[in-house]
Amino acid sequence: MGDWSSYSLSDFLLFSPQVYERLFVLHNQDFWPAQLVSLGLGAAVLILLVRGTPASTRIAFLILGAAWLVVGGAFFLGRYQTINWLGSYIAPLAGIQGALLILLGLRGATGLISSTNHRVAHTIGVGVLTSGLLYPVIEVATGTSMRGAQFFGLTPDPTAVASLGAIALLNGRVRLVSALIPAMWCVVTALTLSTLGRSDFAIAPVLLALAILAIAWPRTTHTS
Amino acid sequence: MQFSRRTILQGTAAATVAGLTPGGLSAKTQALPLTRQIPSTGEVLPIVGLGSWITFNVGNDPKLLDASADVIAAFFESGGRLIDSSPMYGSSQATIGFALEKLGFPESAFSADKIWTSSKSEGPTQFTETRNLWRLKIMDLMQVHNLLSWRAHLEMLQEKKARKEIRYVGITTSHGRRHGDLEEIMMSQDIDFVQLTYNVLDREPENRLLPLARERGIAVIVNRPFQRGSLIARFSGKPLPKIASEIGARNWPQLLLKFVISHPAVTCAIPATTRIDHVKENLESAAGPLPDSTMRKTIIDHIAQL
Repeated sequence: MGDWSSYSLSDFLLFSPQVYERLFVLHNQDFWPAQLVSLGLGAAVLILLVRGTPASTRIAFLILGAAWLVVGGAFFLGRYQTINWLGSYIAPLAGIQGALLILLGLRGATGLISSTNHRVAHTIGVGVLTSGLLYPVIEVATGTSMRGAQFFGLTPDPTAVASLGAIALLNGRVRLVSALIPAMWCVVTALTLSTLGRSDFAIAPVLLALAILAIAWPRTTHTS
Repeated sequence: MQFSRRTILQGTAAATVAGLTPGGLSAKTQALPLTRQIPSTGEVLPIVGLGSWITFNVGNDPKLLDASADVIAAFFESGGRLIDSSPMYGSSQATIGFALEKLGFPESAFSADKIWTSSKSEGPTQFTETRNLWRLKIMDLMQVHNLLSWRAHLEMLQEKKARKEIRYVGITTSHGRRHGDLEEIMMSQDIDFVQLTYNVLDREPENRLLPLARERGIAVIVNRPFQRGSLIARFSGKPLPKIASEIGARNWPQLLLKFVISHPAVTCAIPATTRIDHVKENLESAAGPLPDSTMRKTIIDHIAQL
């Protein structure tokens, strides 16, 4: 690809809106009823992070990391790659994200901000995480069919959004590195859906913007 | 894939076309598309082919694979031959291979594909993959996609042509990219085909590349005859010029396509579509009268006023 400057975004959009929507329809069909399990695990992540104990947050990030591994293998390699050769390059990034979140959980580097001392950032983080779990509902509200909706832990958009919400609750600087790949995917999916002319193209970037706000919110150290 | 049968098929201006669907021979009478010669051999090709950018990239979706095969079946039934693809186009190559096998490998099929990699060493591997995806032993035409590492790949393709693994060699560009480089290659290299973008708004190839192709005896494949559909969207609902009825153009897509294929240097235009009615309409455009030079100017003037 020696002449990158002469390519436009649409040059890399290799598929039609119909094909992209059916990609998720088939994914949902093939994985049913895994959606119920993944949503249950997503709800568990929310509860564990709201509880906020060291043990519960570690488990939450282990679940999030596993979700990325599933998305990388089953979706990007198993599904997306069949219509976009970029899928084989994105899948390892999803694997790295999964490994990173699992590593955070295993090492216990999952200290959270306090809901009382960082009320705004905490509220936004929980809100973005919840939006990731409710992603199918949001998509349906913007015109996508439920059969072609995306579910946390199975497809990238809700997994990225939910991860960003969880990462926004982290206290340490590791949150900045952890947010990179999910944020990049939110941009990629927004560009993809926008180029396809889909009405739901703004969901991920809006939630990304909120997550960035919470992630960038200053952390203060409170000593008693 | 026999040359003699092809020649017989294309040499007839209007004939009874045997249906190519696996279901059997559903004979029907229709006008065959006009043909042009490939200068390097004299073999004739219908002047409308079938592109595959986006349209046949359907992954392993069984419903859409069958729908794509139906479009390809309609293309052959309507007298089409050349189908063009690229490793860049996702699963399009595999979809075409699926369709060809489903249709019993129609003898009239003319396979055109590309090498698309910056790595010299990956070229032969990609060629083998492409041939396997098409499910063919011999590819009719292999082109270097968008001039990417063209020296190395062209040399490799010429060797494969000499070994009769491919029949023709070409090079492609799109959307006006690197026309200067393309001109140099056309001047200096022994190629059978060149592929470029040409349509009623993108007419820069008229200045140098199309005349040069005629001068050098190079066949021309035209991509993006509708600017990926944007021309149809742009002119839809606008009045057709009066000469449209004289050349049998019932709508804008037919007029736009007739404009492209009426250029004497053009061997084959390759619009892509997912619809059977559109593929038939495209080939119908190639079966009727084409605008002469005066009419072509009328079309350009009319569009300029819209």
